[in-house]
Amino acid sequence: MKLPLSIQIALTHLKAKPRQTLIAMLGVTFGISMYIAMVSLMTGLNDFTEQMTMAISPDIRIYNDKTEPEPGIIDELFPDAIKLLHHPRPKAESPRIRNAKQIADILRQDPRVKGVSAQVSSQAFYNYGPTQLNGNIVGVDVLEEDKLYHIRDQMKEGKIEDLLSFPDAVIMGAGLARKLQVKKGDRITVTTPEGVTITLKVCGIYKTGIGLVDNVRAYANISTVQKMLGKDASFLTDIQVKLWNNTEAISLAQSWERLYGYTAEDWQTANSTYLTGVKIRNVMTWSVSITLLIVAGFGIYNIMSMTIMNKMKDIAILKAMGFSDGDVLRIFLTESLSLGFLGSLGGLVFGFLLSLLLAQVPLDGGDFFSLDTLPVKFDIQFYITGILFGLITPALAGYLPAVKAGNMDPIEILRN
Amino acid sequence: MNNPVLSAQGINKVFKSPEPFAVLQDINLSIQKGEFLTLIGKSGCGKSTLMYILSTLDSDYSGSLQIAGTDLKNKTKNQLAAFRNKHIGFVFQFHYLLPEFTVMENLMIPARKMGVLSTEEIESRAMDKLTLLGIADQARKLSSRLSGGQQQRVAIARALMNDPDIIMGDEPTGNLDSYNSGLVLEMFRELTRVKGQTLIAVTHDLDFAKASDRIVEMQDGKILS
Repeated sequence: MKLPLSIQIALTHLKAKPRQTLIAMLGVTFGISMYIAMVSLMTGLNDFTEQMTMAISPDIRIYNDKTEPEPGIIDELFPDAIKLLHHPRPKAESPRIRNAKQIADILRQDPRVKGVSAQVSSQAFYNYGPTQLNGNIVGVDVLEEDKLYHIRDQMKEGKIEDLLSFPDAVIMGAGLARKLQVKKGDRITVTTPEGVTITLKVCGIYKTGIGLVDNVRAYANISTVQKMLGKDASFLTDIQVKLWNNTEAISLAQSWERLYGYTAEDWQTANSTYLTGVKIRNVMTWSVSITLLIVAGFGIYNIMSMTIMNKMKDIAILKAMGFSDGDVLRIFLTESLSLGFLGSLGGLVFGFLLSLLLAQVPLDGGDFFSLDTLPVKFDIQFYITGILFGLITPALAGYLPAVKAGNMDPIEILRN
Repeated sequence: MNNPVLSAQGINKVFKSPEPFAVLQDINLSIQKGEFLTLIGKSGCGKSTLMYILSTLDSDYSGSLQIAGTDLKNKTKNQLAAFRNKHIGFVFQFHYLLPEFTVMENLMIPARKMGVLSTEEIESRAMDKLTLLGIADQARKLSSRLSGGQQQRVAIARALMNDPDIIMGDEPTGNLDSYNSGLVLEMFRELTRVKGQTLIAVTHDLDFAKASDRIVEMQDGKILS
């Protein structure tokens, strides 16, 4: 009972009209709970896709981009001449990165680099009985690769060390293995685009949970793939790099591209579609939440304006009794702030319950994602932002009516 | 006497809209402590306007006004509000009690606004005022549950809460039946005679005016007598 007088008057007003108070509160409650549910789900989705993407893609990938057109020799020799040249074909060029091992060793010394894996990869046909599938075979140093992508944790059958002990072994993606109907210990035939055929033994099966990888990729030893392709021991096509801080990827990629003369692609460029998705989801979350809060704000504005019209006599007598304009303003601002505070507390609770509910919604990720339910993120930050919005909106909405009440001339009211 | 509780000199006020109109012209008035004064006159003669100026609610005038030795011209709105809280009590035609509050809470508002006394002291003072007005048994009721006569008495009790120098009445009996007007009039007389309160009331009720110590009649913005 030791509340300041103006706050006590405000709270008594609210208690005297419980239904009106409740309706104004529910507006805020609804806005805040939707905000929390949406932002939790959207951030959950964003985080999930980011984790998935980052789990399988390098921060920077250095490779020899053969698809970039090169000027023909005739253009170099006679730049100003009129040329008649029919059906020129691109020069046959190997995807080899020269000095790949040396580049990888230099990169490993860089303190910003977490791990480097030099690879040789090739397209391949997998044959097992009647089934024939197109895919990728990647020759890796499996221990290096594990440092980047944690293959050890993704193994469903077998161990990654098995790859080291058998020279002609292969670790298959779960989707690829399922489609080929192979199990650990089976022997499959792999054909390269050049027509070389080799028999490999399946020594393990891994599952990242991302169909894009599991359905096509198989790991083998570097020497195995080099042998398949008929290349020497220095033939490497890819250097994949993980950084400690992946926001440095763009600038590092640019400087490495200049330094080594090969294409260096950062993860943001490689995954630009996914990043666009994140942006769109964020825009959606904010626009829906802000719309709901604006609607709640109008509700509070209306109810406060009505309350003030009903309380004109009270305002007049309070002013006659010595309440200043500021005191009266405070009374009505307290009312809308209390509405906002109680409403957003309710919104936090409902928003949390709604998020819990969303986290139960079953979701079939199919072959592409290993997901059972919607990924919902629970983060105290959303709730703090929620209550801030729940206080700012009614403060803005209630301010104009409160100022009006504060500026009311008691004589005008008393004369009537 | 040479020490009036209220003195107004050369008060002029002009209504600017719809067209300039001199509603008060050169009003000089001084009122002694313990005086029961009534302001009478026809509708539109400016008596209410004068009362709002004397009670500091209206600060848009020229001239000088002193109450209880304080010069009130050139005070800010907030200073005037604090001054009213301490020195002036109001009784209007309608009771203007806050309907959501009990009688006791209504009485406590001006004293809590002043913020000098403790809650216990304010409560016991409020009980004293209610006893004085014979409605102590209604203290815990919601003010909206009382009869019109009782509500007006609560309003008077509220006006007395901070022991003001002057009580301003704007048609204080205008909305009451003859029995209750008689009661209110009796209370006012007692307050002035016994307690030494000063009372200024605007009224249409000639019987009420005749019972006062001094009648000031106004016409066309001027004091007649």
